[in-house]
Amino acid sequence: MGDLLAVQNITQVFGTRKPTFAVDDVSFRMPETASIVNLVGESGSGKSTIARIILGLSRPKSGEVTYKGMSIFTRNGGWQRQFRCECQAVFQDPYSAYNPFYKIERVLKISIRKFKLVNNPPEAKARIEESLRAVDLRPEEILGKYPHQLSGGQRQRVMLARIHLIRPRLIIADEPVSMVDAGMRATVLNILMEFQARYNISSLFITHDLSTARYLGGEIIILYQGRIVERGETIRVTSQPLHPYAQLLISSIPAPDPDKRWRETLQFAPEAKSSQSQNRERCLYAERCPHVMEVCWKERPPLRTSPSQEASWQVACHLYGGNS
Amino acid sequence: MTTILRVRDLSVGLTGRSSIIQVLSNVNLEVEEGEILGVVGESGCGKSTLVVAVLNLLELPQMLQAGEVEFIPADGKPQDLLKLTGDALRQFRWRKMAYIPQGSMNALNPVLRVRKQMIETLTQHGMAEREADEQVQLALQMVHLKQDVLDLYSHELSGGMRQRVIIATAISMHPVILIADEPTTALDVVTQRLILQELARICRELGITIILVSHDMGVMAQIADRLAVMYAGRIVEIGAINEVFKSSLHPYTQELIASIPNQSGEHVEGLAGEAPGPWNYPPGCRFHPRCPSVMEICRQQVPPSVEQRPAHWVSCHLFRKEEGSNG
Amino acid sequence: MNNAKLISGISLLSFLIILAITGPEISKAMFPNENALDIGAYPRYEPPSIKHPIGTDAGGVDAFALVLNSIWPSMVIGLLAGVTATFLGVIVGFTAGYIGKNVDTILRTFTDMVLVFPVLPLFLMMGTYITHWDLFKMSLLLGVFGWPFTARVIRAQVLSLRERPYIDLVKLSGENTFEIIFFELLPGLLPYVGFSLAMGTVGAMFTEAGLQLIGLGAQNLSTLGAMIGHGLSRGVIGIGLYGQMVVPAGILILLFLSLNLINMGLEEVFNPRLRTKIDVK
Repeated sequence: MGDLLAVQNITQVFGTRKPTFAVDDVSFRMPETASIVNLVGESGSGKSTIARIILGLSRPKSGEVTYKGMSIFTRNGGWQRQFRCECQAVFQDPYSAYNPFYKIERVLKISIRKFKLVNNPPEAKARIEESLRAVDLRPEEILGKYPHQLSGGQRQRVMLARIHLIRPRLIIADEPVSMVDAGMRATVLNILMEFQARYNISSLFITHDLSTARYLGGEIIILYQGRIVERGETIRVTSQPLHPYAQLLISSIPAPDPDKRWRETLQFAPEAKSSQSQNRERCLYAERCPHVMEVCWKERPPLRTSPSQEASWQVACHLYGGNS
Repeated sequence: MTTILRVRDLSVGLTGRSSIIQVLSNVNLEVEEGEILGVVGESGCGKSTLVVAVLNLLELPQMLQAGEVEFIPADGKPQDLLKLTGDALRQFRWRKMAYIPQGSMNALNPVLRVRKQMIETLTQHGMAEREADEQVQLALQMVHLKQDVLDLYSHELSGGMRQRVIIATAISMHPVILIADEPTTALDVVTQRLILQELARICRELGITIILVSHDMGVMAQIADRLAVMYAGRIVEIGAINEVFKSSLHPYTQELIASIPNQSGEHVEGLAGEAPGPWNYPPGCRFHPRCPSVMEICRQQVPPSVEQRPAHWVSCHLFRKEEGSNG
Repeated sequence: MNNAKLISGISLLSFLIILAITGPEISKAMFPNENALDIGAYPRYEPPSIKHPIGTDAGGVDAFALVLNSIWPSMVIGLLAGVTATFLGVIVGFTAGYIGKNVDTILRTFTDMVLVFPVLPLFLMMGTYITHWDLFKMSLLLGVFGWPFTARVIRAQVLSLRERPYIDLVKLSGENTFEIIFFELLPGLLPYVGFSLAMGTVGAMFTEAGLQLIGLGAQNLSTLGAMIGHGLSRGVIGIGLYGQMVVPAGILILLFLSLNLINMGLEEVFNPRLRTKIDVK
């Protein structure tokens, strides 16, 4: 069975005089069977850039992205329409995702129209209402309103209703709950998980919040300054991270439990100078790493299978250099 | 534990075209000296409004309707902040109470160097320029920033560094109380941890009392000593951090904590419905439409605040003063 | 539509427009059987009286009748120039902002060049070639030099709007470039187009007045600016005929005020954060 999505060695560079490597040789795959992949990293890690590339909103400097075997930049109108229909997004900011000039249902109507999801207007209305109910919204409270008249939680759920309407195969969700209230977060996450189970929709979930990644399960890919530093099963990686950066990240999650306070006081690292002007043939985490060795400054660590030999668990760190 | 700030019956309204809408209603709060008090709530619950009201910074269309904010210094008479004006207020602010508003790290003046900016803030609040220069250097040391930061512009600093500059400026006049509104929201997890640890250290080593406002329960659990939970313009529960987390009393607090995606990845449920905005606060207990333990009285009467356990207060009809201790 | 500024602005503007249109009729009614606008119709520099509310000017023309007949030409110049400037500005600004890169650089340089173009010497030159100005020529010329302001504003706004997530979302929904420009971007530009129109209109009227002041304006057009200009050059204030300056200037100011009120009102309607009172839904 081929892959649904294959990202191969994509690199993205911004700026001409002082080039910034937003994405540096990133590859990963998502299988045909519905799955969840968490793409985790801080701001500057490249995760949003990767999202834009996969959605076809920007082209990588090098590398390829294929969907069901075909490059997503294939110049074929019919294929592009199909790709657009099957690969959709959920955005972070539920307010700016809607044009404030129009009523909120417009995004739903445009999708119906452009993807020819229905055959006649009454069916369109029925489908819209069905999708709104599927995300626990009442059509009479939503339809006819402008974005500013609805709450953030409602707006974000309309985004999900749109997904329900279009039934894509793949969702790229860029921080879908970071601007949603605490009480609503679990609801949104549960809806995403339900989509996977019931409608066979895969999600590429982009976030900086590891606790939501943990909740969703699936696979996790941890990015640092545009490079993958560790990847594997979310539960495993987050309980026993191998890469020093992953360890730092995971231990810095503020656990909502006063008994589980951070034990050690983090020292302020020497502020990471912009590594763009420096050598990139090295581990980019070297300046902050407590286990840094000489080789870390000389060679970029490749992604290697973890010491436990589980094929899906990989880490890019010279500490685990011995394994093939 | 001595109380250094007492908020009594604070009510704030929003002026509409023909009416006034309640935003905060009868908020009572006591802040103990040397503690980190967390004020947690979802967006729209009024926690930022509470802070702005306490600092006497309300602007139209928000307006103060009732209440007192008493500052009780160790060596002086209590003062009602809400009655101060003009110069007295300006002297009070920053020297006694410093404020870090939400998003302030992005509000640094892009055309001024850090040194100028920090000094200006101090001189505006009454400090002499030479003294300000010294204090600024000391303050940077307090937050572990190198002195050469002073000569940089704000855009040359990372988010974490900017926030530390803001904190340094705030503590440079050695205030008694520091109020920080969502100080780590825009920062990444590791920087957030560093900043929170800094705040905790500032509290311990300098004895500055901190009021920390956030929507993030995780942040509260990590550094707050006591926690006040706000919902729809009221404080529904307040107590020691362990008690509020482990033995929450108010149904909202319980549901909120239960809905946090936790470490083990077990399924959690979000809260049903959504928090009301000031336009549609329900009568009686404002949480009643979403409360799993709702009773008839909840729809009609606002529950009074009772000290259900020592120093653990809750506003809920499930707990009644008359019935004595329930557990 | 119950914004105070908007309503008062629109009312004031409507009143001035009506005044402009009916002005000539009113002046005829005030002076039946006479042509108050003929040079020499009356003695020069008559002081204000019941017959001549603000006196007569250097040519013996009744100044009040002159004002009433000058409002319309001023407005036409303002409007035509404003529309021309806005139209050109939107096209240049939008193209620069939307396409970006090299096109943007070229257009920006061009805009800046026009901005610093010495308009006065040009008008001087044109003054020697054009002996008979008409409203149309004057408006066009003013408009052609008024567009850089609009272009900058529109360009900035397009750059900002282009990056909004909702643009990405409709791209993902299948909207093509044409639809994005007309249905997504243009609505967001309307407040700025309106603002540019107001600024352009008023700016043109004041520029025309300024030109009249230094004698570079259209000598044969009777505009409010002409009155102010002539008044200044002939020193009517010195002889106590304040009205002949104050009234036309006042009308220009009222026009500006009305357009500004409309703009401020529109901004409040579009940007709820500017309101000091909130609407209860």
